[in-house]
Amino acid sequence: MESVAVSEPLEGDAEERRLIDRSAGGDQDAFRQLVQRYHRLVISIAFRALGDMSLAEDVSQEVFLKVYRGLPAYRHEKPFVHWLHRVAGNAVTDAIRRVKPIVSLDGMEQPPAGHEGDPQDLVVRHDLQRAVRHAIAKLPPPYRDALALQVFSELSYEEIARTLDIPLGTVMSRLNSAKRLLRDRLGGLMATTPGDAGRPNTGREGTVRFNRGRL
Amino acid sequence: MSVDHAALDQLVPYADEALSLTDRAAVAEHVGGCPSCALELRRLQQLNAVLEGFPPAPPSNFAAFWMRLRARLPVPAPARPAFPVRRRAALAFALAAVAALAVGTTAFAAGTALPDSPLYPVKLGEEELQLAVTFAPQARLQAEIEIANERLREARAMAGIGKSRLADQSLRDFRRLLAQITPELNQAERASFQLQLTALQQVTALHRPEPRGLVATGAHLLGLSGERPDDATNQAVAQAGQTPTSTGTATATGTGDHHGGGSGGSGGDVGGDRGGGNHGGGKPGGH
Repeated sequence: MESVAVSEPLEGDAEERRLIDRSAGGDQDAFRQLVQRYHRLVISIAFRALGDMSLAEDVSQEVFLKVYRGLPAYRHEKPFVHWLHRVAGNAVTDAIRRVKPIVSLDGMEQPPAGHEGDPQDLVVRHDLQRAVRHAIAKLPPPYRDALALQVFSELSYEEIARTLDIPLGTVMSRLNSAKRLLRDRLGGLMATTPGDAGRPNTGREGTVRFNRGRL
Repeated sequence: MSVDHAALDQLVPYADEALSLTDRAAVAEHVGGCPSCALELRRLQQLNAVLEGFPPAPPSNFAAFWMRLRARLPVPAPARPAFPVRRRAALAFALAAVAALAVGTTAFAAGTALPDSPLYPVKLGEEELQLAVTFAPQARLQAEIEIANERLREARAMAGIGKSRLADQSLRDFRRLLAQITPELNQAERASFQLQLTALQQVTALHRPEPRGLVATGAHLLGLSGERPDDATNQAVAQAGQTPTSTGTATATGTGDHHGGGSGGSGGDVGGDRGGGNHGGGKPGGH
């Protein structure tokens, strides 16, 4: 595999650059337009991470507040959207840690069997997702950040590399470590019967595939 | 199974379909002949199925989102500095920050802290500071009324959970505040306080007899609040004497104050002279 630091020309059009500069100078109308461009993106990251719309909107507000405060120091050295992804990734994993997990991992080691397809399955899946979110947020920061960008922000390996400003090979090794650690920590939750080994114990319908392509 | 597991390092990117073609082929070949790596791969694929299953966000209203956000944006250098407001905000902020540091909780918890909360002293300090920087008479009275209401709310809450001593303390503070501001209260405000006292009396009566003395004293204070003897409120209060609140129970609470007396009924009938206009403005108080 090649471990190449991907460096690309700056993204974002001239219009966005103007909006950023005006926002940095305190122009709230410019900032409104900037928020309008990215509001949907940040909300969807936060919702995937938190599974609750009200929490997701709260955290998204925090993200844009941080961006607004940080704009005066922004120098266009990297694309704005990369910076936004980092701020959002940090904010959502912080937020997950603040939300108390209602179900402990210990209490979930034996998910009810044989309930696929009925409403109980939805409950199990919901609890599992909550446990997984917490487990992600508690990973060591370098693993956590890379995995959050893949899972919550739905970035490809290449996008993660550019967002975090690290080589592609580093992304691979961090995600590798992150997922193995995650799988170990979720061991009881993810266990399936031998005959069931190919399937997760949650439904697969309606899943969203990772963004595996290039930008 | 002790073949070269170098491919293990690439199982995750392999499962994520993020490897180059050549790397991909190498991993596939290894996994095909290695049961432990094949099992590992299946587990990672299970994990991926969960990680890819987080549902997408429902629609969100941008206009509402922006309205809320704009209200929170830091304002660039204020053009017209309203001195007391700014200073008050700064003090409140500083106190809130101290509270957040001290207890590690949200900075605004102090504002609603009850007497049994560790943040309660912070709230009292905040109130004092607010008063200290509020100069306009009307604003000041308003702030004092709010604080008095807060003491009543606390007394209710504490009585509700059986914390009698804390309830008493809040009532004492309430009475002290009331004595200070009664001369400035208009009829409607006095009526409002009296209604609340009556309600509070009912709550505390359910739990124990003592605080009624204080409640009655507060009501008495209202009744005596510098009005003429023929004032309708006083008559109403006097006529409501059958309310079981007389007999000097104030002494029993240990305050040593004797506003209670025999006429201390808090009397539910405060509607009699409601709407009687502002009797209060600037009249010197009787106390």
